[in-house]
Amino acid sequence: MHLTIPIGSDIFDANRRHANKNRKLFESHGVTAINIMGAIGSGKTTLIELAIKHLGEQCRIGVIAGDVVADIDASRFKKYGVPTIARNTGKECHLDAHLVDHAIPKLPLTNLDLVFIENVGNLICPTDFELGEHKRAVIVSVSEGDDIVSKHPMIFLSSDLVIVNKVDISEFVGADPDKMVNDAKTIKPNITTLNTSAKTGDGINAWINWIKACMQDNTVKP
Amino acid sequence: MHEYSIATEIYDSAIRVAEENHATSVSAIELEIGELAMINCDQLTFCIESIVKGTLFEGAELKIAEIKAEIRCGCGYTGKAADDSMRSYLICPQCNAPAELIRGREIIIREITICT
Ligand SMILES: Nc1nc2c(ncn2[C@@H]2O[C@H](COP(=O)(O)OP(=O)(O)OP(=O)(O)O)[C@@H](O)[C@H]2O)c(=O)[nH]1
Ligand SMILES: [Mg+2]
Ligand SMILES: [Zn+2]
Repeated sequence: MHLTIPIGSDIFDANRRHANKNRKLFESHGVTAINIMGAIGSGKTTLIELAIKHLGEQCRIGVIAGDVVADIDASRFKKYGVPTIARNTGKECHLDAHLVDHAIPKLPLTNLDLVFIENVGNLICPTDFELGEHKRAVIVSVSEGDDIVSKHPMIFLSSDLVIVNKVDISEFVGADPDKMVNDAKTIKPNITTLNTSAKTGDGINAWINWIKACMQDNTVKP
Repeated sequence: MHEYSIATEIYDSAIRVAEENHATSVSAIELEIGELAMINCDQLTFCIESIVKGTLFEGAELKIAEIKAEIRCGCGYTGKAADDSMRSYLICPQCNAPAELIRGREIIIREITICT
């Protein structure tokens, strides 16, 4: 007998359910989770390292590092003595909630306040995959060219913060960081924007303050 | 891109339904994919075909329909974007205000046809 069975389920729903479960788990331990997305080499690891340097005394930080193959970024974080879980995504171009779910039990959540999840360098694929984060930051740098934001609007639309990094070299690469920030504002008027340089320290205090505000937001939530 | 993992997700969801319904084989599977879901349908088809080899789904006809993007704006506009540039999906063609994308990014398993 032939039988047609309606299903009608969205593939992303399964991921979303998983993400909600992760978020609840973070919350039950009073942990704020931040998904760090961005272009390849834009400075994701560097900016997380700076956050660890600035906030490491005041709060307990853990990292989930989504390297594609090796654990190069993870070993950079481990140097600071923070609990770090490397999630090898294999051929995958993004982390998903399932991969993060497997990483969470390996983190000492009870002893943490803040978890950074470094996504795979990619401005397209991570967009549709919530991980269970409370906030999303997307990092691009001037060396990707100042059209990069308008070329990939969706990821900015889904983010809370956009960082335009490496402003120290904007003259050399002929990119205008203000254009990039304005493009992000056009796509999402209420997005927070920061221009930073890990080299000169420009904007790093603002980055740290944004993180602190995320943690504040999360604790005042019912 | 992530066609392979999407194909796996589709297969996992569909096989669960097929098994729950005591299928002995599956003759068709129908998907709906948003035009902005960033999925290459040829690649997806190829991935699904290789995954289903030797399963209940082997030989099933794969039908993929496109879901057109639709936007909605506070001014009351609901409908198509001005053109198909990425940008235009975020802007109301009627009043130029930022609009909300309400359809066009989904990947839906519409139905499967099974033999019991
Ligand atoms: N000039 C300059 N270089 C920077 C800045 N931030 C990071 N870099 C350099 O850019 C390179 C890439 O930085 P990472 O932090 O590894 O970038 P990433 O985004 O984590 O890279 P992937 O994880 O491989 O995608 C490194 O050599 C950094 O030293 C900056 O503000 N200015
Ligand atoms: Mg990195
Ligand atoms: Zn309008």
